[in-house]
Amino acid sequence: MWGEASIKIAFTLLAFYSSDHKFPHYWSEHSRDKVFGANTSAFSSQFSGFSICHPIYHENTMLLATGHAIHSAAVSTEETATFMLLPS
Amino acid sequence: MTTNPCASLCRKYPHMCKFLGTIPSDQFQYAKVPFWNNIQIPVSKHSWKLQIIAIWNTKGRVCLNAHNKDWLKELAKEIPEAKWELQNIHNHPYQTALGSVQHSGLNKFNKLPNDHPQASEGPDKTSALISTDQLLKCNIDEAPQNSSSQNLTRKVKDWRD
Repeated sequence: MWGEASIKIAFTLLAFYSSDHKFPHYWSEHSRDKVFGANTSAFSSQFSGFSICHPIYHENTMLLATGHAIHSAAVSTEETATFMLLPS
Repeated sequence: MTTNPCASLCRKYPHMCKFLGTIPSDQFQYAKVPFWNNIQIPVSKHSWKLQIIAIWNTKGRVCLNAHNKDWLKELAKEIPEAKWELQNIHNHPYQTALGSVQHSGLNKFNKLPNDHPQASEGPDKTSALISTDQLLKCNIDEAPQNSSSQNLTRKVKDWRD
């Protein structure tokens, strides 16, 4: 579920680092998105680098994503920042 | 103060989690997804606000500040509908606090691979996670290698072929 805010944040952050606003990787809950190069198993690897995470609005999934982002930042030896968009 | 489980978890690690801002429920809307038959499925009006939280390590913070010390102010300008918490983001490390995370069962987590060489496999519940890591690496002036056309081409064989 992408909102205008998350798209704006994504593109604003990308504008800092990239002149042509491209996403090198993305993850989706839908396996059909593989045809466009999506990864579909976000929690099978550590988050690294700079990311935007807008998980589905399921309490356990959001909590899992938040914990995963914290653990990723804690153990990563490279610069890591995950911008979480969470309903409240 | 928000008391949902995610916010509570973030407050346990204030050295790594920064509440950047909140978009009030009446100030944001979700993108309308175009359907192939032009039929829009009505979605009930949301009642929640949207929090923007940065979860980072010291290197991440330093890298953002090194690129642009006003990055948060500029982000706030781009998204005026949000209520931002515009304090300065400091560069200093949080060695002591980071130690507390080390006790929370990270041994298994350490075995997980890094996310950028990953191939697509298996379904997951996470809706969207976009990584700009290949663009950054603190080589900020370096242009990315991928071209737009590569990003939009199919990565697997068409099932009809």
